[in-house]
Amino acid sequence: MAIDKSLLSGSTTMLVLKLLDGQDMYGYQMIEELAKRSDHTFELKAGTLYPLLHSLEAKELISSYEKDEDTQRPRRYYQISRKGRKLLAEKQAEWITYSGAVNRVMQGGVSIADA
Amino acid sequence: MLMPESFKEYTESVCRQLRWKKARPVIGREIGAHLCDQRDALMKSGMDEDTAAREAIRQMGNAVEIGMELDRVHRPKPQWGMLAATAALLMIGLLIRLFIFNDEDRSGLLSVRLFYTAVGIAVMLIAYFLDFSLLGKYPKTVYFSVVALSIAGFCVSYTVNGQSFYTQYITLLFPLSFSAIIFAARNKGYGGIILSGLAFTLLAFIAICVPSVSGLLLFAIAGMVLLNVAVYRRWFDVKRTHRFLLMLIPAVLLIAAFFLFMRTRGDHLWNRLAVALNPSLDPNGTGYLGNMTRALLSGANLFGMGNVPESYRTLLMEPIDLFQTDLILTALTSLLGWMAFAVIMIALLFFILKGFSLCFKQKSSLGLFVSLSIMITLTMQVLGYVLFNLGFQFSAPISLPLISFGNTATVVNLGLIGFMLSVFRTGDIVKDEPMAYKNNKLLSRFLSWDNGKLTIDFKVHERY
Repeated sequence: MAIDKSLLSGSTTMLVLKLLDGQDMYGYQMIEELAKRSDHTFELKAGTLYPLLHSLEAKELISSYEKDEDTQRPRRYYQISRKGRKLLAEKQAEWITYSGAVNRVMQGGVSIADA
Repeated sequence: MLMPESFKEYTESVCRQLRWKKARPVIGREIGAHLCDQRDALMKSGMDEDTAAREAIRQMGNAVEIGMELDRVHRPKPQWGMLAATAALLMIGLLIRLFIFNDEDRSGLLSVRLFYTAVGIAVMLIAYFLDFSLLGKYPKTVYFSVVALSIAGFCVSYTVNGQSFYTQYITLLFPLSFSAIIFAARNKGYGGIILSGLAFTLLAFIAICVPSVSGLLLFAIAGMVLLNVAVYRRWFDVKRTHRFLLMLIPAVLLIAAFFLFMRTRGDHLWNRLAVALNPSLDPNGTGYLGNMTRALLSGANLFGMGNVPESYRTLLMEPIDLFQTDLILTALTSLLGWMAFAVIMIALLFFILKGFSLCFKQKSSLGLFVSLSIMITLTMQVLGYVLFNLGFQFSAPISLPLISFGNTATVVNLGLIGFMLSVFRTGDIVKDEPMAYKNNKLLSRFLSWDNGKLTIDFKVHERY
């Protein structure tokens, strides 16, 4: 199901950090992985991803390095920093509170977790 | 597969939006690789090459918009804090010259100082806008230029106390040029280490010929730190057990060089050390200045002029070069009190701490190495100068960067600071280039196995 873009935009940082929490990834891989894990609910555009990645790097939440693997093209891998992990933990806690509250309201007082 | 023209055009129009030109190649490579990945995936799902390329571009979005977004993130970082600290240190130096040591008979010296400060600032600004990655591209040219400069220094310079006057300041460039050689020698295994060792020895030999004990000490310690950082960061691909032994080599070289140096001067290392620790052992010879310094400091107050022993009074009141060049801290402490000493130390400490913290934030190995070599050069000068002024006088100091009197030292130090700030300004976008393909990778490009199909590829490949 395609969803309203504004729903995604607020949480993109969190999703990107979460992806990098598991392993270092390059941009294209992140878009693929996000689509796969969300059953193609989140189709992140490259045009949104790269400016975001670069600004997260400027804020020292992630770092990057170029690496040639077996392929012929050098890829820029991103790696989450300690500061990034801290922000991810905060954002995740915030998200759980927020989504729980939304669910409770939408389900008329019963959260999905309770149901 | 080659990168199609349409991808090149797309990445170029993204990059054109970036006002900071240095950021363009890095971003261009990343966007280009993404487009190729996307196209390959689309082709695997059954699209033909042209359609896949068009679709990849469509999915990427508007090039100008992406470029503008990226432009907002990528800007050079002007180093206002460090520039202000540099200006403050220069001002302290000038104020001391103007108010403490300004003798009407020799007022010409003030204008000379002002002139060289202006030259130094110009050199600093040029270095600030230079592209420091040139050092990584032409390491040998940089190294041999410094060697040539030293030889020219020997030819043209006059000698003061047996030292080639200008060449002693050229030794301040040794750590920087050595860092370029270590950078060039990385990934070259034991051969790289031997190359670094040779480069180190030649420069150490030049410092011995000056002869400058402080220059040699400064370079040897800087070289040792830089080599250790390189070994620690696994720049030289060698065994773990060998790595530890390698760290000891520069120390052994340093001690050997020092003994040799002292012997050629008919001096004895242990005697020199003993007098440095206790100047009274040779009160009228090498210990004379040490004794004077200690006497002045022990009479100093917290605020205001301290108690100056009669025998030194006239010496201190005369605006002689000795105090302005080698003993400015002692003189200020004696004349104005320990507060003056504290203020200068706080300003220098701020500069040093801030400088080192910026060094270790560098993302590229070259950025780290260049800035670290310059910070060590500056810090070692401060350390040597402060020890000398506190009465531990093993060797005559080179300068108290930007503060003590000395035109050549001021210009050289400002140039080094400018170059370091150029690293801090633009270092964010400079990344280590990916390592070159190793030979075994060639085989995997020639032969590949995918989805039950064996491909033998005879084409000469370009990247992408």
